[in-house]
Amino acid sequence: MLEACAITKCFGATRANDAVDLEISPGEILAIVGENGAGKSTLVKILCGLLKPDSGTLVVDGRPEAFHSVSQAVSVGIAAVHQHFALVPSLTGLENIWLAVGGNRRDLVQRAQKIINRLGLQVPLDQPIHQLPVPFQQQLEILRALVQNCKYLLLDEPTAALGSQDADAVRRLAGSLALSDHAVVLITHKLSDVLECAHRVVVMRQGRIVGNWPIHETNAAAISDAMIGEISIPSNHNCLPNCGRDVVLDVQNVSCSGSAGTAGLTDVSLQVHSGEILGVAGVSGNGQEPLAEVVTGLKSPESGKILFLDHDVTYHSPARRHRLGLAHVPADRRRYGAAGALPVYGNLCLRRYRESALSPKGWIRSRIWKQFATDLMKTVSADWPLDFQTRHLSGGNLQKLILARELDASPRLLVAVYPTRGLDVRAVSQTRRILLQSRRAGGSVLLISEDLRELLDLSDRIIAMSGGRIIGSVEPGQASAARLGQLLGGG
Amino acid sequence: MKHLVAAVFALLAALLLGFVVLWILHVPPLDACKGMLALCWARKMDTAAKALVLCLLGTGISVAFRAGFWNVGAEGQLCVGAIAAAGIGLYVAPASLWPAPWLWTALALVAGTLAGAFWCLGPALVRAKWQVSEVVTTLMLVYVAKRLLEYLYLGPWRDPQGYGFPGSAPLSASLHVSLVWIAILTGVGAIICALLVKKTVIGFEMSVLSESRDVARYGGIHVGRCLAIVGMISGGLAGLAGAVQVTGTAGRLISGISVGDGFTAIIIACLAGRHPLGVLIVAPFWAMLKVGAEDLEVSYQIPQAFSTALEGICLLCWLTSVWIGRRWFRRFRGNLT
Repeated sequence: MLEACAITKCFGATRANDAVDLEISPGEILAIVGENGAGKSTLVKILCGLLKPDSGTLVVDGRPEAFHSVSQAVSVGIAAVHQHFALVPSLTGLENIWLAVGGNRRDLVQRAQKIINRLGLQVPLDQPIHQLPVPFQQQLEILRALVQNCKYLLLDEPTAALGSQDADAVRRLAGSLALSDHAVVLITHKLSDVLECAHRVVVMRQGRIVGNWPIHETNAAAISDAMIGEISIPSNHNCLPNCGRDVVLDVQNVSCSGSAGTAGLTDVSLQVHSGEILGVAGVSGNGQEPLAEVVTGLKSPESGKILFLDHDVTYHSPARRHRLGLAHVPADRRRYGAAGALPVYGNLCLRRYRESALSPKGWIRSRIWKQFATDLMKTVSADWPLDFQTRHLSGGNLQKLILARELDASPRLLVAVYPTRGLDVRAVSQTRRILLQSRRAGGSVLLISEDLRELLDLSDRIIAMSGGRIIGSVEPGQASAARLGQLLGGG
Repeated sequence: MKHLVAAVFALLAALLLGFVVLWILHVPPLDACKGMLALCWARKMDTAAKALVLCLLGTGISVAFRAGFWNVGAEGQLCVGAIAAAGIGLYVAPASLWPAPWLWTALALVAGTLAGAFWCLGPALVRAKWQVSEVVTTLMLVYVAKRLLEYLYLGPWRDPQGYGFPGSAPLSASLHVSLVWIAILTGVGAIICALLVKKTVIGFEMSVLSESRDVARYGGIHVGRCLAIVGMISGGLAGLAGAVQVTGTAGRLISGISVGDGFTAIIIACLAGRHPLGVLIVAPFWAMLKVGAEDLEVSYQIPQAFSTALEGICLLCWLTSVWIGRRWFRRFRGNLT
């Protein structure tokens, strides 16, 4: 039995885990579910020795343990398979296992082969990892844990990157592991994983465990209720008078390929109306970022059409779209949003520097630039020194800088991707207020977020994405727990 | 300011290390210095010509580096510039130089500039389109250009009256351009580049691009156009340097055109903090070092490679001092906040 007693872990002011108690016994499949930031990953990292808890104890098979490393956790039989596999791409499967285990290779092959036969795995041991598809890599990670006699397997989002057939195979594998007296912990977003194969489900919210039921005593609605907590549909949901029906953005049957292991877009169509905030829900990596890139012009779609204010902008450059009134708060604000080495005022002028008001005949007038930047900073009530290097701004301040720049000249549409990710509470509320202000001024927002509460608080309408497709939508006022659970669970 | 401190420290450190090397070779360092300076003075025209060539090259490189376009192939652009200028002077211009010699000189300089610009445009476009590292492409093109230069002065363009010595026929003396004109050209070029970098929208785009291609694309900067402009300016100035050597100092196509100045200029651009006007200050020192090193060879039997070694030492010292400076600056700011 693996027991965690009163585990607490804080990052700064955030309590990622708050007095978490958990028991896992061999032969059981335990699903841990929760929204983003509920503390699931932190808990797994503590269990597998990657993080040390601030307080609380771990008891494995009756012996209290304090791990200083992952290998210590493995030595008592706990192993985790993370979303990003820890395999050397140029080595074969066997070599990767040997790296972790050592010893005689021939014995190792025999042991691995025995496990492969028992569980019916298909992974070849003699091929380099980079030639293997993702499901095989995952099997190899599990195999490596089993070769090291691990009894407790922690699988972090094992089905997130898989198609439905492969996901079924993983669930079956979990089942046969449980039959052979292993304990399997599934950390997952998908309610289908939970309902189909778990024996027990633990729901986490804001670092605490808020539900712990055997699977036959609960159902999807109860689980999503517990995940989200009480829903307060905010007053914002009454559409404002200027929320018209004219279409600002019309995406028609757009498809494009994704990058490195994430979904692209498959036949996505959506419309954003004037004065509305359209929320896009879903676990990240399901096509949200390609959607934002295609809409803002950083990426060209392979098929389909994008209309913005009745212009066909499918192949327009980002600059042309911006001139039409399209603004963009990028997901990776340090990579796309601002040049770190430039002074603050340079980044504030990034969208408008070409205009003759700022640079007559192509000559930079730094006094006008600085005045312009000062005025922009006032709109978000900030007063950074103008010559301050942008890279030294905190995440929240950087986001304010980007918002100030993007919302200047009241854009017709703002594409905001994970606008509050990684920000502290104050910055989050400021950012949300700015977004709502922009809508009040008549602009529309395409809000892409992982945070369901944020989407509920801000959006007039929510659509959900999974595997690069739009899988459903919720109209204002119809947000029921079951519907949201469906959105969260990905179908 | 930061750059200036780093450059001064680097030069001092390099000088000190150079003294150590001289001392190991049993050469009295101060005497050697005196000898070098005396030789520079005695051959002041050579020194000045060298300084101007290095200025042109360094200015072009500093513009490229400001945009994060690591053009390390100025040497090759110099070679094609020299070839184009010599081609105009030897084979295009009529023997009578009608209507006026200076027109043909100007044409030779323009041809050299364009040749260098287009030699560098290729790598810039390839970088813009497929993100092929320009460090590789510009450097490889150096060897293409050098072999082309050798082929021409050893083969088809070799001087029939040259007693078999490698080199093309000399250009007509009335095509020669005086150092004063070259100096004016260099100064104007550096000032234009400095204005471009610091005061124009293109300069701003360059600074964003050097920071991140992603931010540039996001901000609506036409990455391809920006890189093409930068590449052509950088290559053009290097090509002009080659043309200046043909029409100003060497007077013909010979092996002495390509002696690695294009690589030396990289260090000069770095020491000058990638500022075109800074190059005008740093390059003369370097010219003195290069010319003076010949005295070391004659008087003390120290191989010319010593000056190359000193270049390397200087670059390493500069990199170290920039790194130390950055850390020190960070700590200093840490105390402030």
